[in-house]
Amino acid sequence: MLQAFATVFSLNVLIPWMLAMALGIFIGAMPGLTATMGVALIVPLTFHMQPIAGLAMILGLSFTSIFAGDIPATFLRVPGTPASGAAVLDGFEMSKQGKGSLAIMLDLFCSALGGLIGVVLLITISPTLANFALQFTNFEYFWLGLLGLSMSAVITKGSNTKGLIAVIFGLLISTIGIDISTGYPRFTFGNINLVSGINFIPVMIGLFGLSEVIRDIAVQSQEQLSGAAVVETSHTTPKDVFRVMGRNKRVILQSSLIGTIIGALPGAGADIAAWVSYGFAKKTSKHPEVFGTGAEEGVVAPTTANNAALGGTWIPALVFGIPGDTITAIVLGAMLMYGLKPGPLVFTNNKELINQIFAVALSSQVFVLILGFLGIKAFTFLFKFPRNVVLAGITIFSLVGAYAIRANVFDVFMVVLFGILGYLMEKVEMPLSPLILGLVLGPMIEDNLRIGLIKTNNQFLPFLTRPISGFFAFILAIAFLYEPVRALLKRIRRH
Amino acid sequence: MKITREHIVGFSCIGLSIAVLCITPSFPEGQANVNITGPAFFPNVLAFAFIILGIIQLISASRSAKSSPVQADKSAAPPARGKRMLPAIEFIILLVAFIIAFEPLGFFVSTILFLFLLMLLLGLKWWKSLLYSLIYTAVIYLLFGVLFTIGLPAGILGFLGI
Repeated sequence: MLQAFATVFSLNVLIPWMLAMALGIFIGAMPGLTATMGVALIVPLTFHMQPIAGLAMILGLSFTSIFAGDIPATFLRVPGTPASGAAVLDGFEMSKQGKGSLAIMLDLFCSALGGLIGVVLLITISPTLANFALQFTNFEYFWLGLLGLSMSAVITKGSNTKGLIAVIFGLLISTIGIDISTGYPRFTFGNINLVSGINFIPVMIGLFGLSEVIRDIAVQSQEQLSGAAVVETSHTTPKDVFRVMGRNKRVILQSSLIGTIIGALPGAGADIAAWVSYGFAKKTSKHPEVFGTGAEEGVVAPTTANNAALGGTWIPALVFGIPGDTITAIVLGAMLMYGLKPGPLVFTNNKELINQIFAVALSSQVFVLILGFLGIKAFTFLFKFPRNVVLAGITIFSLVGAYAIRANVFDVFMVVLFGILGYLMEKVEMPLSPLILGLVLGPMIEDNLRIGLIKTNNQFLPFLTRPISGFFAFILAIAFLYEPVRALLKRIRRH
Repeated sequence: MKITREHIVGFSCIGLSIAVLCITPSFPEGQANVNITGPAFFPNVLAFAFIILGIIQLISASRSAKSSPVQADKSAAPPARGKRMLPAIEFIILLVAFIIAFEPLGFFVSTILFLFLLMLLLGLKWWKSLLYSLIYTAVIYLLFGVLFTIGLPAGILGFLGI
């Protein structure tokens, strides 16, 4: 292992690795440029290097960009990457209260710590966990999708009916486009852009980013708009950050674990990990009512989990050659190009390389702290510009960022459409995040349900009787019944 | 009884579900003529759930409108915000114009124009608006166009070969 560290700190690995990590900060903080896109962009460059240099670039970039996505999420309410969607909720609230500096520093340390725990788990338990996930069939994935959705009920503040309305609406949107089982284009109305479905990145940029711009323009006066973009924040010392982290030890540990496990499940990555751990932190908190109003736990949970998930996504990728998310899907492709065959044999045939990957992943966490800190400094400088200038910047970056996804004006149109929708939804106090969850999880739920039903000749019972599947259904039932039953017991005790 | 925003939410749900239920019968059937696995199955389930939620929403809207008419009025029309809607509508019109003009006029012309008008709308002086829109456009071009080699439309400046 020591030799592995010596190799990865040689200059021909270190230099591209650091450059990629710096680029990651930038890509992550730009809405529309995702970690996946960043990795896809640098992979062609890595073909001229030795495999570990390429893999170090990919690993480093993914860790910094997932953290950096939280910077605009915290200060501008624009998630820089999909994984920062949940970080918006309490991070932006803290920032509005002038505690933005504490929120983002907390975020940085939690990201590094979460990332570290995720990597340690990757190194230690990867074979066992991947083995478990490999037994999953459609039945298990169906319940897993529903479990993810149930989190939207938890993260919602206020009316449950409106949260459910938003979820169902998101699910309905997810049915637009080619039906995977039959190839029939649903709800496309002859529009070719709808055939491949509605991409969730423009939806997210619109709902969270553009809607905020519309709201600001509608609500604020011209004098307010000419003021500084971000509320001046009080200075934060590392001591403050450590104190808050000490208070939230349990949440950090729990979120790292949830993040890694979800990351290890194929198809679920840092974004879902962040939502689920946010929901879980709220559910297990002594003060669930403060979530959404700028709660420390609400910042700690998603930001720890999304970086922890990155370690998790490499578990199935390395052990079985199954991607844990879109980034590792690209990684697997890249590894084949390097002449490596991911799978159980990698651990015996390329033991050195595996150790080097682990060394890179571990030391990347230290660099996340350093580069992340510099990134925060750079971006907070930009936020000192007048608010109307920054608003114009957010708008144009959102629009061109959406265009950049696949060079299609239709995606820009989607940003505007969902920006208006998000503005209207907030006016009727309907939460936005359940819609995103519904849209993301919709295909997973529908496809697995239908394929499962085809397998069982339309019998639903096997969804409950398979052991792992039944266990998930049980957890789901608890998640839904926990609150009402507790309320009922309280009432009985009072009488 | 007064129709509040809360009612509109409920009515929209029901309206959308009816629209979905009108479209889904035209979908083909699933395997072995069993509807449960067909493409219409999932949207139909969702539409029914949406109708139920819409009805619940309408009931709770009527209840809250009855029990606290003052509160309902407040949510229906906050007087302070009424006058400020105009800039938001202008902003949306500007956005739509940008989308329409983006490919025909090209990235440079449409982006500079859009940013200039937007910043004027937001209350910046004309020379500042012009300066910032040029800077933004240059930064975006360098990032997206040069660094990430994303093909931004050249439009009417196509003859320059950018």
